Amino acid sequence: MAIKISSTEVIDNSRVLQNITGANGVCNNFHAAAVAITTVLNFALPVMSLTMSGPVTFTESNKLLGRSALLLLDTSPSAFTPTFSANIKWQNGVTPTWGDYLYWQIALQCIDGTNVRGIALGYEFTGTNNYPAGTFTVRERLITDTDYSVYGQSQDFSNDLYDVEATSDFNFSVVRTATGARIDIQEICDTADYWNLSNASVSFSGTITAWEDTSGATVTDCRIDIDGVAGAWLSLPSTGSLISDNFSVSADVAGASGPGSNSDSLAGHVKIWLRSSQYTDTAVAEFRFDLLAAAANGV
Amino acid sequence: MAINIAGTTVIDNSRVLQNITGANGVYNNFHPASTAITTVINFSTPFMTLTMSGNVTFTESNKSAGRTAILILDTNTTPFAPTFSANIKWPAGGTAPTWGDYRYWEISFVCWDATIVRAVAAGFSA
Repeated sequence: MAIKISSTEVIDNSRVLQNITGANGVCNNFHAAAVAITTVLNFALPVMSLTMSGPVTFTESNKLLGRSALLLLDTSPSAFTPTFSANIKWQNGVTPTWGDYLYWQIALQCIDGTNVRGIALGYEFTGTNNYPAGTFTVRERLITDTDYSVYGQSQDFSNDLYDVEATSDFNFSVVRTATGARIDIQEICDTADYWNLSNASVSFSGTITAWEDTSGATVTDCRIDIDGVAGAWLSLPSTGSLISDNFSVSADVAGASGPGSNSDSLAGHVKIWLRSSQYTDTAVAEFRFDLLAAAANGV
Repeated sequence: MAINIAGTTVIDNSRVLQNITGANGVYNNFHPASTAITTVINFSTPFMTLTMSGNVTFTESNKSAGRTAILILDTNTTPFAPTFSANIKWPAGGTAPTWGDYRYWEISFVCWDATIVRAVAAGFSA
């Protein structure tokens, strides 16, 4: 038999609390029921769920200051698009990019009888959240550009007519740092060689940082594509360690017809990709490089 | 004396609501009880606390669609490392937070079904 107070039912025959005007105390194993909905965000239902089978335009009902609700929204498998009314005000004023995630957990809070504030958390990323742009100290150039982002020229000479050689050598390195990642360019020359840079966007010797990101992304892997050929993804070791690709040309006139009679050049294109848990795989930097090794009779 | 409906207790002698199948109305000063746990995230105890004294691998119990819970986690000064099961899904890239970044964590869980739980964690220094 239902329980009544002053003729008003407070617990019905199905053991549902009814007409409760307040509650003081503590609760333990007492939860909201999850109710499947179709298009109406009903604030009489504190936990709602919907697995979408097509795009949905939502409306709201039973809004009242202080009421809150949680919507468990499954947009899969086709990443259908939900549309909410203008009454829903999103965090930071930006409607989430629904296509970025398959599952959304949306907390809705009525701030009056009309307006609702919403916070949406996405799970299982499917979007295109690119790695943030870093800062270049060596100019980024496309392969179609006519001038150089990195240029190296090596010339060597020797009084010994028959013992002349030259080497030009670049090493692109990807470094995982505590705050993101950086790309170093190293000059590598044999000690007997003579290294010169001209027409370069920056001059350097030894190692310079050509690109750096400090977004705080946790970079796990890198990939270096050479001349449009995709490289393998390589796991970046701990901070400070290097994964690199080396490019070199050389000229040797030993035993040939004399200094200046031999040279070699190489023009190439390096595209470097990074992978992190927060972003989709992103090509963060591209460099055009030109190498020239000339065995000259003096410089 | 307990109050029964059709032989089923709905308010026991300790004034605890029992066997309630629904509730319509409003509430005021009505809060979850805080329960100290060790390793089990129990969705029958919606507000849980743990001050870690060692690394902990958590499991879950009493999961059901729509159930929510909050875990107030103190990783202590060491700090100790919590490990959650693969049933717990984290937002954005799906990566679990870097627990060592903060000592205190407030972790909210929502059961999407009897297996999958989606969570969000906020770290605090004090």
